[in-house]
Amino acid sequence: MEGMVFLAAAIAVFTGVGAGISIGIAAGKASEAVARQPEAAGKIRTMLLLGCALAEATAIYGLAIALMILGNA
Amino acid sequence: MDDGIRVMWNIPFLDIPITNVVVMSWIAMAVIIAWAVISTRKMKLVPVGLQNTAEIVVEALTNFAEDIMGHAAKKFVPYLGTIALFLAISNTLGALFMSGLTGGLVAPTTRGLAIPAALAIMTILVVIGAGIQKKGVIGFIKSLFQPIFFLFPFNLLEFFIKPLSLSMRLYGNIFGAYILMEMIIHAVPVVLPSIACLYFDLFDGLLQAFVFVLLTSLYISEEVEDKEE
Repeated sequence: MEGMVFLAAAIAVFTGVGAGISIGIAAGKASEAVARQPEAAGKIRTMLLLGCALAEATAIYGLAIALMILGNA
Repeated sequence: MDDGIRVMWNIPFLDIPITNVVVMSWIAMAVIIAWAVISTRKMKLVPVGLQNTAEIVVEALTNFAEDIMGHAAKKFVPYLGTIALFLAISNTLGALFMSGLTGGLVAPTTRGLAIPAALAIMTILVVIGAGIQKKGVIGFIKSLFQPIFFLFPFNLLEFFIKPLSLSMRLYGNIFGAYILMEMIIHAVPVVLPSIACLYFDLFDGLLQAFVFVLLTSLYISEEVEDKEE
């Protein structure tokens, strides 16, 4: 049964899928925006970083939960 | 599991452990203080030497804060700048000393949850303080009931979620990078670690410092912005 703990931690890290997809979409849209309006690159970069930071949060929560699961094992 | 935190020394009688992370934060503080004192010792109207670097940094931070917060920025630049410098230096100190190769003794200060948590709590206190200063105590409490009164629990909850996600983001990124570096070093001990170290320790450290400061300034500007009503 001890293996189940590791399995649980691995499932928790699946939150990374959502973060990966969303950061990919954000970066793609940002490069489209810069291609359309190169003069707004600075503002777009700030927005992109902010969006990535928020999207990344889900992955980080997954990591934190995985660490908690492993820590209690 | 090995979390890369080593106890260097125990304060006798009180039994307070001093970990390598705390020592690294002292080093980061010493670097910043020494730089600040030396570069501003004999200030001239036309800057020479180190005074140039100080002016560049202060100007960049002021511009960054004014972009986001507008006129209210002036008051918060010192706080934002302190956090930015501390995080930027302490996150990248690990890369300078090849943190992966010293057995984890030299670590970014954010590898433990303690320092990110302290910074995040400071940030939320500044946010609440800014809100109270802007709207007054009663106005601030009233703003918790905006836009509809039954959103009050969610508005209140936000003051706990914001610091939690701030600190977990910083800690999780740096800690995740550390674990990945350990794996890379075990799998491919030559060439690859030095390249990966550039990305994980240097780039990711600076990026996370920037993201932390960006989110802090956004939270503050949310509180102090003028609403046209």
